Amino acid sequence: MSASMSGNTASSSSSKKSLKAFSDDIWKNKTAKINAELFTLTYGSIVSQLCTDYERDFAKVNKQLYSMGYNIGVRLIEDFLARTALPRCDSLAKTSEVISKCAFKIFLNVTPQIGNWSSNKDSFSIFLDENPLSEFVELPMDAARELWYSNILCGVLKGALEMVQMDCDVYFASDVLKGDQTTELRVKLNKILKDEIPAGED
Amino acid sequence: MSQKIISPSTSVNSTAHPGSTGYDYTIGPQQTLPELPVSSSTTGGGIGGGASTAVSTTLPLPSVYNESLNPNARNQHVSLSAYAFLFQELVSQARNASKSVSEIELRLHRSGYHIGIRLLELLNFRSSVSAGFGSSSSSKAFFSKTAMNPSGNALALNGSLSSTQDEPSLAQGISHMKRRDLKPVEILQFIHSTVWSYLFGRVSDDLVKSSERENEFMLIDSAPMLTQFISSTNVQCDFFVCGIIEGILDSASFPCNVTVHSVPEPNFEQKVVFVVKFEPQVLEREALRA
Amino acid sequence: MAIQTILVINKSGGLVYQRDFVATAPRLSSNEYLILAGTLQGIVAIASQITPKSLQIAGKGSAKGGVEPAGGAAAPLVPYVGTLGATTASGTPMGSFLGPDYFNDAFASCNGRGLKHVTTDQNSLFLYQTLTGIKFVAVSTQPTTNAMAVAVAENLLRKAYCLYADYVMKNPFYEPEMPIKCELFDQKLGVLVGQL
Repeated sequence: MSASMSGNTASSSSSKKSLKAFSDDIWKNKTAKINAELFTLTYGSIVSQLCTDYERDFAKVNKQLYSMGYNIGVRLIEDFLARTALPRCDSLAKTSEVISKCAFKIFLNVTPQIGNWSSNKDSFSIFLDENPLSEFVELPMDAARELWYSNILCGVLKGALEMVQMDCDVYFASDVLKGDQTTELRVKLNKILKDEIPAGED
Repeated sequence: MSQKIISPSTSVNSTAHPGSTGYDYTIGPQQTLPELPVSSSTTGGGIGGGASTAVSTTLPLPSVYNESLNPNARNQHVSLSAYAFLFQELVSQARNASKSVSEIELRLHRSGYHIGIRLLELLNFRSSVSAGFGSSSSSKAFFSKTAMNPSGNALALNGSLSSTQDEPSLAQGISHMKRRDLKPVEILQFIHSTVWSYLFGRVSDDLVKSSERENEFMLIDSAPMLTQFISSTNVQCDFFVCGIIEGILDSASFPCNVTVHSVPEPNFEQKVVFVVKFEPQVLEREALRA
Repeated sequence: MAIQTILVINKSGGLVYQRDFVATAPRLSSNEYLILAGTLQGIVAIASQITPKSLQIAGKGSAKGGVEPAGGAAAPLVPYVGTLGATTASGTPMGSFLGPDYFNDAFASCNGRGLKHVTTDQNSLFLYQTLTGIKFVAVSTQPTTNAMAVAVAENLLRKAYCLYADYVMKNPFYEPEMPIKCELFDQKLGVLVGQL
């Protein structure tokens, strides 16, 4: 719909800010922050509690983390939209850019790389070079096989995208915690839920 | 049943080398001061030697520990919103799994406890490192990993060696280790100042001794950070912080019970008081020391 | 211009929040408010249907459409409606949105063809719709068609959205889509409206 997202959100002096500068400004000047280690430790506490609760059935832990993420995502999107007031993205490429440069930046202060586009442009990968969730984490051997430690992120993306009427599959393709070379999150757009787009939008 | 088994860490090299900083039960206790110059060369050798297996090539082992222990390399932040959403979900989960208010609070307490027991030694260690030490290396982003080229063993070896040489060993920045806190007042001061600054970026608002009971102390926070978005209910979400405090005190050998009470005041409607109640043996010990 | 009432309508058209800020505000019964919410939901949808095709083609993004073609799309001015994140007089920080005025940039409304503004001889009603379909509605005590007033109202409602993100969404005891009963949201919204 809107021709240029960064243009529309640029300052009144009509200077076109890049999405990156726009997000940096929000992160630096407009967002309350908290110690990243407390975040890491709290998430660690949640995961280890789940592992105990589910008697180290890691498939169940993955599922539970995903569903917790989903619950967070459907709420977090409101914070994101209130904070950025970005308009709807007109393409998945735009969406991917907003996710990496804006969403990850203003919530977690990291900017993952986007890549691995499928030939029909309906899916892409997010490469997390830095992951505040799994800082200082080493997986025990039994967990390394099955557990997707940061699986909550998939749920968050799934829930948040669904709230802006994009039905996506989100899953981890690899994780450095498991000995892989990269941490790769895969996002696949199934369809845009046109019927649920609020009336009045172009 | 399987959780009773201590599972060895995947990232610890299977070939025993003295530079390994993770605890490996197959080897037993080892020198754990981070990155002593002597062991660093053997670390490099260990990585290079084990490089034929897939696991050992992937992680630059020492950096995780070295960087996390360095107090000057830990100024990273995430947004309060991100934390608030995670915390919100933590509470929701506790709520769904519980039948009563006290059970929810107990679960939150337990989650916090796990964090508390990790913080005592870490924060004590960090406050032992002299100020300003290693600040040159702190310019390197805290989260960034030492770049390793996993495909070439020779490169990986060089990478790990040079990275250990660039960063001075943390041990050099410690003239003497901070002494363990032995008195209840000392350890509470530590929580009031060091722990609070670490967690919430400011010291707590007050630390008072109860006038009525010998074994009770009160930590006051007029604007609790983690629960600031949560409208008051009959569930006290700050039990999470109680858990952190109790975890720290417990692992410092001050067995106690920590509870939280809401005491709204004009302008500080979310003000809370954490009541630390030491077990009788702590006071007995104090009496013997005196 | 004072704000008489603020409503929040969830994405399925249910009224989840209603609060009067003026003692003289005419009281509607809760049932009437529910009907108002449902009606607004319907009008927004219909308004988007009746925008003349020519306007839709000619002014993509500038067609304000709806019952009242309010303001001007090119009005980049963002009036000050009070702080959101800065510390209040009492020294307690207000939430996670920092800065003396959170919005100092103009913003494009994504509600291009839907209802934004209704005026009668007595009142004006302003509506801000989010991408997720939540509608924030403010009713003022005086009628206005002034672009400035519309901009003030939109900024105010966006800040109400920020408060919603902080004090409703981050509250684990709030169930999505249900009526909002959050003391802190009430309180902060009162401060925000009081600053006008």
